[in-house]
Amino acid sequence: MRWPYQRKITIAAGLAGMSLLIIPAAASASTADTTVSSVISPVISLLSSSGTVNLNATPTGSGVQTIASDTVTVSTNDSAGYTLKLGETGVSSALTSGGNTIPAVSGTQASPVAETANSWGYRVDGVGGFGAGPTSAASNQAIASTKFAAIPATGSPDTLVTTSTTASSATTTVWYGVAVNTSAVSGTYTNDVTYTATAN
Amino acid sequence: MQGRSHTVSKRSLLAGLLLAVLFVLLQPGSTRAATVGGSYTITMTPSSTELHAPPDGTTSSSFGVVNEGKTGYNMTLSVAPYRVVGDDYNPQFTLLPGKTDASKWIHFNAPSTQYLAAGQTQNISYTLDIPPGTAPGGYYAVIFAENEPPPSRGVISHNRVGDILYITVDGPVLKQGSLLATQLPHLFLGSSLPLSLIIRDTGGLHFLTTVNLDATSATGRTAFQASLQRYVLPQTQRLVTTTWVHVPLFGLYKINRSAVVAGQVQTLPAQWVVFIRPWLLIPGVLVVLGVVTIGIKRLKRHCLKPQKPKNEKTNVRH
Repeated sequence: MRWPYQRKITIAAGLAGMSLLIIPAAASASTADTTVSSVISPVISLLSSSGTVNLNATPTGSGVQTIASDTVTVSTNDSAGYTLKLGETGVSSALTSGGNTIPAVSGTQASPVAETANSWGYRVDGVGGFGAGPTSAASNQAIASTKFAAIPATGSPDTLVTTSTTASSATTTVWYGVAVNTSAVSGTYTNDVTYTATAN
Repeated sequence: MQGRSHTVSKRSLLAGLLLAVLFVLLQPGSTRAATVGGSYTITMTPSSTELHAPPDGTTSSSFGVVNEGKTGYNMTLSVAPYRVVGDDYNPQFTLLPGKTDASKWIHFNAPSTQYLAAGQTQNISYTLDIPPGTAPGGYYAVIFAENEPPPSRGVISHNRVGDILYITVDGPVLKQGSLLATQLPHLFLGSSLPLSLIIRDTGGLHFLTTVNLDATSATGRTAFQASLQRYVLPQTQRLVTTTWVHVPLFGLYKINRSAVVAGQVQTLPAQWVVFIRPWLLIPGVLVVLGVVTIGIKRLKRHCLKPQKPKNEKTNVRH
């Protein structure tokens, strides 16, 4: 009667020993490290509300002014933020219609000026010397004292915004204004501008 | 029947209202899509890239351009020099006279103008060829991707995004820099305190710095902490700023500023700042004014009170 018990004990002890041998292996397997890595690439995106800003005007002898806006939206996940610049796409800073031109105002971002008849320019409220605004859209209104600047050449664009953190659909309203009198030759005038967004 | 139909119409109305609420709640996502679809959008990834190659060596990389809008357009690729001006790192895309133009080292392995359909992502690979004899150090350029809007009238806007290239030409190059403190007030009465420092790269290669700014109370409790990463270009200094918004109403805090500069941790001396809001001073000022007023009144009363002669006093007693 004792032998079977001894056998059972031996088997149990053997199983326990085996389990002891197996457990460390299993334990070491369960604590194996798995590194999950994920590289989130820095991204920058830019969109302008329409692609075209119409500055239609019906001139009078004393002159009229039309002001319209473009909304530029920038998003970036770069933690250093972004810089948004505006400059001419081509060499001319004038609104051009064939051989006819409406020159840019003489003002700059630092020292903008009020438009005079037959000139055009841009402004961004609160930037440079433009003043706080707020600027409002106008169509064929009397020429106001609102200050505008010429759009700079491609190589030296003006900085409109600079930030120091990520941005999610951050918008900037850019106003364009043209002032004309009856000495402006009728026609369809255009000018190409470039918004540039880069990470900081 | 009328009552039941009334209940049914009430249920229908409730169901309709719920659907309307759900519709309104689900709107933001689709609104964004509609906004994006109505304009020209261009996305570039990455927005900055580090490249390494030895002189006369070559390396390659790639970037992606995405048209997230609903209108296709022609996309133009270009490369320009990249440099910065001022402590605030105003980017410039022109070359200074006498400097090496690294933008000429980039060659696209794809046409520089291509059509990008709505919703399309275009991966473009490029090669960087370092000319032989180029001095080791840092060189910089930017790849632009620009959309070409269709001919129109008025002011036509082009959208351009950039991938800044931080190019290292391998070889022995000095890597060093330093920290400069910006002024901090000893007494601050506002609600948002700008915290900053300047990192100067005096070597020949850019480095990615990690700036740590924190504020601890007199008991050692951390009240504010910020960690910022910025590139610093050689022979420039960069102002790194953050803002501690909603500072404590009252208290004494130690501002600690440090940064990893060219691989070495550098620390500025800590500075103590007293925070107090002006309106907290009002009760104190009132108490002081009250005490002073009472004091003056008592003094006046004491001075104005006629002093009775001693003999007169004696007479009264008798």
